[in-house]
Amino acid sequence: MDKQVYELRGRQSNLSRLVHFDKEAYIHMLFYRALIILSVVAGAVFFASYFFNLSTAVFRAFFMIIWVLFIPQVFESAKGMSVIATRGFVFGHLNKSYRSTAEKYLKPRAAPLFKAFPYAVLAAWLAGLVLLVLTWFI
Amino acid sequence: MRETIRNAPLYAAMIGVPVLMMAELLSSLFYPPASAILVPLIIIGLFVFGFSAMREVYPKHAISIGTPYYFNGITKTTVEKKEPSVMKKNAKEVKLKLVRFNPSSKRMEANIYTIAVDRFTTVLDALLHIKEKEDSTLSMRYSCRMGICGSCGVVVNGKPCLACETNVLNSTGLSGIEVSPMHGNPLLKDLVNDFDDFFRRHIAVKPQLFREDKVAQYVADAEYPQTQKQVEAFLPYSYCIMCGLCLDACPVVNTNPDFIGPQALSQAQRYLADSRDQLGTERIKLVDSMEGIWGCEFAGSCSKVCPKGVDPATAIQLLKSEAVDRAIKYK
Repeated sequence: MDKQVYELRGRQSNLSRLVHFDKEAYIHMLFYRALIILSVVAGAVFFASYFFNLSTAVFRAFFMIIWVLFIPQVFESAKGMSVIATRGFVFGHLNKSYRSTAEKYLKPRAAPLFKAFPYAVLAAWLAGLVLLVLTWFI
Repeated sequence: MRETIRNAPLYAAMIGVPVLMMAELLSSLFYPPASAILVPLIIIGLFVFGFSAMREVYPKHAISIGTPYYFNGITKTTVEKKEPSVMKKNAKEVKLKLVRFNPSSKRMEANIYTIAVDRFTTVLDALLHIKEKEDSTLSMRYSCRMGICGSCGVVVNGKPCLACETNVLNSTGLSGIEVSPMHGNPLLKDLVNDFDDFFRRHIAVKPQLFREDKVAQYVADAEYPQTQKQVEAFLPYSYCIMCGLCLDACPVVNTNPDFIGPQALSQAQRYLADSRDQLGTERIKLVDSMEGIWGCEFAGSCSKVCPKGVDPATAIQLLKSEAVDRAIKYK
């Protein structure tokens, strides 16, 4: 008799499973999916502004939405670079006993800098958002 | 390396658009005429990002035609009112909600059991107790009971974990503890997943050492000595026990079953990083696709649930960087 299996994969709603154990990943995935659609919409709006007399407020609102949606992407991209540069010794979840023996062979000296790098990038990005709000909206 | 080159615009846009937006913000403050160049570049960047990412997140073949998809909500909850049969000294009563897949109704069903546990009771102990004393029809998979075989992967309170390594009292909240099957692999019955698909993915990355010296490698006294540093380069990825928890945690696998998944990719890195392996670029080509390394969105959940510290997320990022390196070198 053939084995009958049942598939629960393949739906975007499965992303909500992350809420129970990895909120950071959930926000990252949610923002990424929203960004995909909105980046195309924003691109079209910006492009249309060359032909139609669109209000500046519309341009600025879309610019800010894209800026906000990029927050997790900017942080995760910087984190990914740190992970590659340190072979997972920073932000990785490598086996603890392996870490203790391999650190002297593989851990780069600049590991603390790589740990700070994504936070520095995130701080700069958030500072940009504050500046954006202050200069454009207030 | 075709897919690496095809993916370059997405990654360039992912980094380029924020840089251009920051430049646009600064230019609006200090040098407004620069906007005339920056805004068109941002528009192009947004289109490139949007359309390339769409190809990654919503691939054409993400949902195969004819594959049955069923509502995964709980349709029936039964409360077992039996008294706990075993009450050891210092035992506590815990409500365990067991969510199981019923293949005849093709629905998830939940039963709530009240069981007696002590501070050493694991989820596997509790499940075995239910099977022995409450409901002998319960199907589950287990073997070693000490986190080595990787058979007893389940989802406890929403988090994929090994039943034999998860303490009941530590995982019990106010409303008790919930145990359900993994969703990242196809379901068979109750808590049992089908792993045929899992092993197909594993085999697809050729998880064995390849040597060019075909004759010499079978000579009994042939040796391939390695330095400690060479061993450390692949060691963590060889700890994989193939429990499938990373696949269950991976949001990309959960939304796009065509993605090969973190387990297979970590094994690709394991053999690529091994100095004894000589498959080299061919090995990268096996995973250089949208269903391979480029499908990974770096959520990192796979590494967070791995019981052995294999860190598949790091392995995939290293594979990506290696693919880019080789694409630049050999282009």
